[in-house]
Amino acid sequence: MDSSHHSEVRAIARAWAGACAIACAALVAPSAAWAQDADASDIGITKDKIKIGMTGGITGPYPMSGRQFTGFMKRIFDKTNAAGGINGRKIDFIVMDDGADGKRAIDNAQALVRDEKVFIMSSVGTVTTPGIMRLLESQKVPLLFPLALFNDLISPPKNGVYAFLPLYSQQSNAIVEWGLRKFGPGKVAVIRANAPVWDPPTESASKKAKELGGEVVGVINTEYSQKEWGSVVIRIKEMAPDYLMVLTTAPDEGRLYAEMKRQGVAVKKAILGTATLADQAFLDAAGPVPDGLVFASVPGTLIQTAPEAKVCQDLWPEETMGVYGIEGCAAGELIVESLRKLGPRPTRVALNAMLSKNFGPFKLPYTGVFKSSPDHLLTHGMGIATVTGGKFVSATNEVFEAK
Amino acid sequence: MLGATLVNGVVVGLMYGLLAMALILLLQTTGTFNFAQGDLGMLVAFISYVLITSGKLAVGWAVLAALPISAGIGTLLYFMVIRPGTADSTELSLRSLGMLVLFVAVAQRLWGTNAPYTFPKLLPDSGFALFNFNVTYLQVATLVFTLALALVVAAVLHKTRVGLLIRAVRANREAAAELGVNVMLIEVAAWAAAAVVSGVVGILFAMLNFLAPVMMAPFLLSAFAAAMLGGLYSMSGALAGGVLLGLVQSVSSVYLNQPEWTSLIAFFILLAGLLLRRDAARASVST
Repeated sequence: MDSSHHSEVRAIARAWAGACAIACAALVAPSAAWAQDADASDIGITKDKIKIGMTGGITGPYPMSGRQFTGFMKRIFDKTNAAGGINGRKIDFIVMDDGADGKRAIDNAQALVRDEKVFIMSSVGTVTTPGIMRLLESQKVPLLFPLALFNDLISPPKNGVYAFLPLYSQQSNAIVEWGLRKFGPGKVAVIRANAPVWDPPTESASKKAKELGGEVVGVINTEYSQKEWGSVVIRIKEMAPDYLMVLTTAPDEGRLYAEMKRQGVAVKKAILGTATLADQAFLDAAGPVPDGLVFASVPGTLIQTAPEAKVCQDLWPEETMGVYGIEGCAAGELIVESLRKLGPRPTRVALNAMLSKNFGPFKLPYTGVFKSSPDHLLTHGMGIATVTGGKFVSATNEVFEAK
Repeated sequence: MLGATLVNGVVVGLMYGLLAMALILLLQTTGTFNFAQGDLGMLVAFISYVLITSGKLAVGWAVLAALPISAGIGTLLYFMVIRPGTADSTELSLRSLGMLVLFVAVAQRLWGTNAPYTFPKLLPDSGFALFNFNVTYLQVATLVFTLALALVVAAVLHKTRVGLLIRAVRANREAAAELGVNVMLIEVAAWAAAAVVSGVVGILFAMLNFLAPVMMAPFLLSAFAAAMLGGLYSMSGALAGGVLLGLVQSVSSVYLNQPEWTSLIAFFILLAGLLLRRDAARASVST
C-alpha cells in the first residue's frame, strides 16, 4: 500500500514537474524569440532583411513592361545590397509572374502577403493592379510605386498607396496640350485599346483638344494584340485626321503605324501618345519613323536614351533599356530612399506618415523631383519625347505639370 | 470605304481559312481535331526565328529548314503523345489540348519575356491597291499558298493511292490493318504532313503579324468557326468559311467599332455550326 502510495505521489510529482517545464518553456519561448527578433520592427523586417514583394506580367501578351520594370528594379536592389543594404539590412526582393492575369496577380499578392510576409508590395500592370490594391488596402500592406497609372490608384488618395508617375489621363492631357499648342488646332482621331483603363485618358485628351480649338473626329476601339490593323486604318483614312492620339501598348501602336505606311495613310501633323508610346517596342514594330512625327509625354522626365540614364543602363548592360526599364530604375531608387529615410526601425505606419507628408525633394540625375504630395503622387513633372534618328529623345527641356 | 473593308475582310479571312485548312487536313487524315495545330506552328516559327537571329541563316533558308523540322516534330509527337496506349478520336483531341498548353508553356519559358518579336519578312512590304486598299505581296503569297494547299491536299487524298490509304485508315483503322495497310506509316506521314503545314502557317502568321507565344490564340476560335462553316471535311468549304468570317468581322470592326465582336461573331458561328451540323461533327468524332 505504502509503496503504491509513494509511486502515485512520485507520478503526480513527475506530472507536475512536466507541466511546469512545459509552462516555463511556453513562457520563455516568446521572450527568446523576441530577443532573437528584437530588430523586427514590423512584418517583413528582420534583423538583416527587408522583404519586398512584386507581382507583374513577366510573361503573357506584353511581357516587356514586367520584365524591364522588375528587372531594373532588382538591379537597383542588388546594387544597394552590395553596398551594405539599408541600415544594415539586405533587400529580399521576391518577384512573382502573373502573366498579366488579374486572378493570378491577386493569388500572387495573397501569397506574398500571407506566406512570404512582405513589408511592402509593388506591381506591374494597369489592368491587374486595381484588384491587388484592394487586397493590400484591406491587409494594410503598403503598395509603393506600381507601374500602373489608372485614375483610381490615387483618386481619391488612399492610405498606403503611392504613385510615382503622373497617371495616363494626366499624360494624355499634357501631350494633347503640347501638341496642339505647337502645331495648331486640328482634327484628332483617338485610337485606344477597348479597356476601361483607357476611358479617363480618352476623355482627358478629347476635352483638352476641344479646349484648344481642336475637334475629335472619332474614337476607334481596338483589342490588345489586335489581329489585324487594316480595318482601323480604313477608318483613319476616312477621318483624315491632323493628329492621331494613340492609347494602347507600344507594339500595337507600332503595328498600327506599319499598317498605315502599307496603306499609304499619313496624319497631317503628329502622332501623339503617352509613355507607352515612347518605347523601343514601338520602333521595332513600326519600322522607320520620320523625325518630328511622333511625340509622347514622358512622366517624371524619364528618357531612357538620355546620357544621364546611362547609370541605369549600366546596371544591366545586356538588356537594351526601354521606357519601362528606366521607370523600374527610378521606382527602385525611390523605394531604397524611402526605406533608408525610415531609419533603423522601419514600420509601415512610419512609412505611410513619411510618404504622405515629408518625403523629398529627391532627385536622381535622370529623373525629375519626387516629393510628398497630398494627392499621393510623388512627381507631377512630365517631359516630351520624340523620335529622332530612329530613337526616342527629349523634344524639349520644358517640364509640364500634371493636371 | 466599303470596297477597302471587303478586301481587308477577304485578306483576313484567308488567314482564318488557311488555319482552318490545317485543322481539316489532320481531321481528314487522322480523324483528330488537333487543338495544338496553330501553336505547333508558333513553335516552328520561333525555331525559324532563332535560326535567323542566332544561327544567322537567311530568311528563305530558315523557312526551308522549318519544313523538315516541322515534320520531325510531327513525327515525334505522334510517337510520344498520339501512339502510346489506346485512344479514340475524342481522347486524341484531348491529348492535343495538352500539347497546346505544353507548346505555349515551352515558348513562354524560352522566349516569352521578350515577346512580341518582329519576324523578318520573306517579301518586301510593298504591294498593289485593290478597291483603295493596299494588298502586300506577302498577303498574295499567303493566298497562293492557301489555294495551292487546298488543291494539293484534295489531289493527294482523292487522286492518289496514298490518299486512298489515308482515307481507309481514317474510316476503319483495324480493317485497313487487316488488309495489309501499314497503318503506323500512314499515320506518321499524316502527322508529319500536318505539322509541316502548321509550321508554314505559323511562319506566315508571324510574318504578317508578329511572333509571340500567344500569337495563334486569337485566330484559333475563328479558324474552328471557319472549319465548321465549311462542313468540317471540305478544304474549299473551310476557305470559303474563313473568307465569310473575315468579311463579317471586317465590316463589324469598321462600321460598328467593336473589335471584341469579332471573337463573339466567331463564337456564335461556331455554335450555330455545331448545332446545325451536329451529324457531321458526330461523324468526325466517330470515324
